[in-house]
Amino acid sequence: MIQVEGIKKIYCVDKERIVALGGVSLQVREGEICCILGSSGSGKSTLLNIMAGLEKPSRGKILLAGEDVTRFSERRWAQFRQKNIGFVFQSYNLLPTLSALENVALPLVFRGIEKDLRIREAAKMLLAVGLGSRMAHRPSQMSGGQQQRVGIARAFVSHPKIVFADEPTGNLDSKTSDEVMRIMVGLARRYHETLVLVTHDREIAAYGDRLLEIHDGFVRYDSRQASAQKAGPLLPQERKAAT
Amino acid sequence: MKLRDMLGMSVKNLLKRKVRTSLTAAGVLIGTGAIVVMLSIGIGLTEGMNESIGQMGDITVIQIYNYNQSADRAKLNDEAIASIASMDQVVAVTPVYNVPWGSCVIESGKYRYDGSLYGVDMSAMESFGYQLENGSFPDDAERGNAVLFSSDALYSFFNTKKKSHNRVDPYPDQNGNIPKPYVDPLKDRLELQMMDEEGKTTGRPTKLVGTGVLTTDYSKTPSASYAAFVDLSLARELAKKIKTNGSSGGRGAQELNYDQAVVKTASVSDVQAVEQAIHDLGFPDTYSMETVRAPIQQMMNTIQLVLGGIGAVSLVVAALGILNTMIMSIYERTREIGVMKVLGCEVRHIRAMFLMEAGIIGLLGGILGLGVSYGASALINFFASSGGSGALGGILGMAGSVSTISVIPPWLAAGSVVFAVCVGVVSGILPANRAVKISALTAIRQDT
Repeated sequence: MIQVEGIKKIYCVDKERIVALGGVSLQVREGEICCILGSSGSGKSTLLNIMAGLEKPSRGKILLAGEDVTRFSERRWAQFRQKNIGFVFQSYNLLPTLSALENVALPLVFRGIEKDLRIREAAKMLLAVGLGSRMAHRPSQMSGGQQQRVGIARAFVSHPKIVFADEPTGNLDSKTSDEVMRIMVGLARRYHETLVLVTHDREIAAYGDRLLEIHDGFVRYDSRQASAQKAGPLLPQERKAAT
Repeated sequence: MKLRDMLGMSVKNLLKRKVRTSLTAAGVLIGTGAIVVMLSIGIGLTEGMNESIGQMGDITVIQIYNYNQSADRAKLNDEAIASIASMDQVVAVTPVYNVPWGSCVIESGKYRYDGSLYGVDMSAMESFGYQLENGSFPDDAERGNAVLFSSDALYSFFNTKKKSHNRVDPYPDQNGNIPKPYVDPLKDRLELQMMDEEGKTTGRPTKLVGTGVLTTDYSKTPSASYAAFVDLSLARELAKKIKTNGSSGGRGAQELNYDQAVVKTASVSDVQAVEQAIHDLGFPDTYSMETVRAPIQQMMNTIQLVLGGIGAVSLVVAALGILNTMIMSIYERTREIGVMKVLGCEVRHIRAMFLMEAGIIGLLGGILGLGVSYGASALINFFASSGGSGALGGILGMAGSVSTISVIPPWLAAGSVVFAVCVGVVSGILPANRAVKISALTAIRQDT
């Protein structure tokens, strides 16, 4: 479902080159729940942003759902996102002027779907995240956990092939985090959707099928490869990048 | 994204910031109002001016004088009249044959009329705006021997059997009654009688029929005052009979070279072009109210430009207000715009939504501004008609006896609202382009 080949990202800040990603290659299968673990500054967020098309890689190639998205124009990206990508933010990012229901229906508005249909779909999704009684509430009238559940409903409402989640529990306490993670993973499993989640919390990462650890812009650990073969001191792509 | 959804989101965003939206719209209101009121005064003054000039003479009429009738000059004959009539902007044209005074008279029994007699194309009289006091214009069959007197000309009939006290005057007597003239052309028999050089009647009289009486009107050319009119066909016959040395006579109907002709154009704006075309045909001596009107119109245009300019300044300020409001709103919504991009909103739709927002502010201000203008216009007219002193009275005096000095024609009403919307949309372009450039990454950042 996701294929990343030799992604490098270099920022130039005041003539100084900062390597955010030194060369990452990975594959995520359809329906897989993949957690990317790393401390702050490890490059995990940059990797997610590049996979979701929010940033362009300095080098490398990305295929999403079989399409090479590396050279997509802004407009192609927008249309591709409408159909194929859902996104869960750390700070929920609900539109304050809209009710919970309208927030969830927003991606369907962008797709140009009729009002009746999108309201029905959004209501279904809100029920699925357990907010059936909060549909008309504004974000400011809801708790953090509730807001994030609205955010999750919004990410899943158009049944995208891939959902990206950027520190979805970063602003929540551990009890609510657990609740939110269960809902998100549950939805991904129910609709057989690919979920890529970035976190710095090892406990959260444990919800996934697969764990990737990123450190200083390289993948240091991959649970899939680890189970297939006991890895040597350096992974092949690291060796290549180092030269 | 559907248009209705974009519109809905724009309206929602505007409603969220009601105070700011209404204050910005108020700026547009003042700008639109200022322009409309200023222009309405300019239009009102122009209309007043046209009206006052119209009282002096028909402003759509051109008079042609054929002073110089030397052989090398163009002849103002039927052919020339036909070519003037064929011009697009010309509504009516008639030559004027001024029957030489003393060559003939109109008699009704012992009463005689020896005043002015004009030969004109009677079928065109109605187009020239001659009004009838009673009766009707002659139809095609009657026209050949029809005669139309102006109402005051009827008092020119005098009793030929008396040496003195042989006239009635249109002044009230002791009882306040205005006496009737001797002759009622609609009832009494009328005859056209040629005169010889000694002032004696000669030849057999021609029977005339009075089909109506013209309302006295000095502003017409020829003037419908102390005058009688016969049709051109009859005038040609007369011209043949009159053996004078006068310029119009003795050359036969085919060669008739008229002294004068009048042309009526479709509207005031055509006068200049038609007058020029007539000059080009070889008739340089023309006169129209345009010679009076054009310089005043030019002055009015300048006044209108200045007034409109004053209004425009406030609308420019309003446009800056919209610009400022939209930029502020984009700063506040930077994150929101980023989120919309991440959720798959296309750039062109984001742009459209911001342009709509700016346009709606313009529309709102425009409609309200127009409403206020109607109120202000009514107020100005009220004070102008009741006051008569002070500055407004001064302007009023300039416009003549017309009491409305502020006029909002439909085109100004519609145009001002459309213009306000355009101002809104144009002011929205810069902010919308800014919004479009916001990176989707802003949605991810935590520091905003």
